[in-house]
Amino acid sequence: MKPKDALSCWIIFLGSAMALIGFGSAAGSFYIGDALLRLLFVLLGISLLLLLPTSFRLAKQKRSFCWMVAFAAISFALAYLVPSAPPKVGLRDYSIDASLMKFMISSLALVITGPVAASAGFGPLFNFTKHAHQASAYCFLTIAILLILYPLGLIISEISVNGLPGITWEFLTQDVSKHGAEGGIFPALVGTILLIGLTALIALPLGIGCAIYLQEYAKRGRLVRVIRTAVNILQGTPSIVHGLFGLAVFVPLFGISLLSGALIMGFLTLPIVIRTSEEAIRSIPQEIREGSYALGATQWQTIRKVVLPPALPGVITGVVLGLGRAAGETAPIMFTAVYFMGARVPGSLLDPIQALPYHLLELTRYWGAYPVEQNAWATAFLLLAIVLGINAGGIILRERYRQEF
Amino acid sequence: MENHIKVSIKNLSLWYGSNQALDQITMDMPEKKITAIIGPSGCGKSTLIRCLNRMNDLIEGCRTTGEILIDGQNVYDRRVDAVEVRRRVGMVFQKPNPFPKSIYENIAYGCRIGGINTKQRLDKIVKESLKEAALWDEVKDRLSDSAMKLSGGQQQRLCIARTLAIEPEVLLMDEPCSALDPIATAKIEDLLRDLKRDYTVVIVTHNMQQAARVSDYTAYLYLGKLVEFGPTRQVFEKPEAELTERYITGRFG
Repeated sequence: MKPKDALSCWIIFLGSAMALIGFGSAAGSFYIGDALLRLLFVLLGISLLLLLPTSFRLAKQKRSFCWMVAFAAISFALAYLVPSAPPKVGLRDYSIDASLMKFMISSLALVITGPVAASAGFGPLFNFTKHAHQASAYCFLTIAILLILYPLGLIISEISVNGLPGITWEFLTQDVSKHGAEGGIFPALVGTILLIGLTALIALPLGIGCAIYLQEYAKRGRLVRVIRTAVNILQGTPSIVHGLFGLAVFVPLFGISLLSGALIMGFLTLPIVIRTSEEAIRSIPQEIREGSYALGATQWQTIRKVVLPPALPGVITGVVLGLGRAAGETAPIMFTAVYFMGARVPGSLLDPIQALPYHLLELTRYWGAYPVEQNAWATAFLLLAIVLGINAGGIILRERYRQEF
Repeated sequence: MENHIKVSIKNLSLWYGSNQALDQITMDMPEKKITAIIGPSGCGKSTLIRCLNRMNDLIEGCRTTGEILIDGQNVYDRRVDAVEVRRRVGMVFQKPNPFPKSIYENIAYGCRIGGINTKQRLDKIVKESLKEAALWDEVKDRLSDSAMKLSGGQQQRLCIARTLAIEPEVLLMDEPCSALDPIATAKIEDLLRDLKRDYTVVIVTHNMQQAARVSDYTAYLYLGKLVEFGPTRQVFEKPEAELTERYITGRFG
């Protein structure tokens, strides 16, 4: 093996190892330490520098060479920057300590730099042929995936680590007391579940009906364009505007209540349900519809028995996306449906409720003034669990209804 | 020997928007015979047979004039319901298009929407239709499997069985073999010869040998006009129009 190949392989190995360490530290919320981090980046920088002359000679396009210089520079910069990140980042009363800050910056730096550096090793290894491009492309796509997983892993691990210890039987079954510092979240849990259920009841028939109308019955023309635009606008409307609309229209009619909140949440969910259902219905091939018509089926029979069953998995996905969003929204319900304390489990549609996202908002507001940290993390964990649960349920349902095409 | 005329087309013209696709077509299709429609791509073959069961109604901006009489009744009459016409005139499409359901449900579908719901009758119809379409032996042990798992040729025979299940009087086939290999094609052609004992069959085909092999009558369409129509042997051996001869001998089209 030639020295330059050995060096390239070493860089690829080092880069991959760094990406793995970065990913691992993100998922486990740990910081690998100043010395080790600095060592990794300096090693990588020096290796890349050693490879520079060979690359310069081999590279037909000097662009690849410039990339390598840039990576080496970035490595040295990171080796200096990350360990000397400021010890405390103050944000009024909240502060994040140095290790938390450093683990986030360092793991992100490792996750990005590692695969990029590795791909810089492929060029010299394959003498800058098309195989080098193939290998680097693979590396870059891996980064893309890692970058998507990175924040997800970070959020889930952080919330689980901090929130799980707070999940106790008392927490789940008791009412709020002392501004959320003690007691539990039972009314908020029930309120959120009722709200999602009622939202589904409102948004599903309307949304799916609208999607069927737009795709199957409506003639292409101005009316359909207007409806589609309206749906898009509804989807783009900030949720706080939905909240204010609810305050102006539904609260005078139904008071601050479960019903007002569910109606507004229904409006918020509707565009997502309509658009994904439309997409699902559109994906059913026209030939299958023709097959049904040719057997003497009416339009409704065709929709009901031939189009909807295979479209169902897609429709379910849309519904789940919509409800998942509704479960986590605060702005639309804060003026229309919820109290922080004092609302019990609602006895009727016209009673106010408590809800998890709003509860969490109030808890963070009392952060520092009352000892609410544990309960806030636990609430966040529960909310995340509900949203992920809805998604998981949706996936299970979708797989059950999936039929081969 | 003069046959009873099952389908009679009179001065049929059709426009897609301002585009005329059929021009004054007049022809009679005898009962329990196979009539083939041939012609180069875009000449209106598919459009013509889609008129016979009013499938063109589904296309926006499509307009027809003239009459199509089936047993003397005009299917384009205002009082006639297109859904009823399609139960009398079954259709098999170019690309096999089974529903994403089980084999059994594919066949039972047409009966169910027609109001037949008892398991006993459905079982009988499914079995008979599959036998008629020469598919029974291949699928009898897996009727509850997805129809999408069948091969292309099997899917096409399933679509034929599905159409036979509603007991149509006329069977339309729009290039039923164009997506199939020669073996599957031979099976469908054998099937066609059996089917003409009970049904009036109209088949559109790109394959002239196929038309010559299976059909009793042949119509040659060119640019939306009926150039020639007559017994297949006559059309292929002694065509009257020069256009037909040039097409059949492969010098054109």
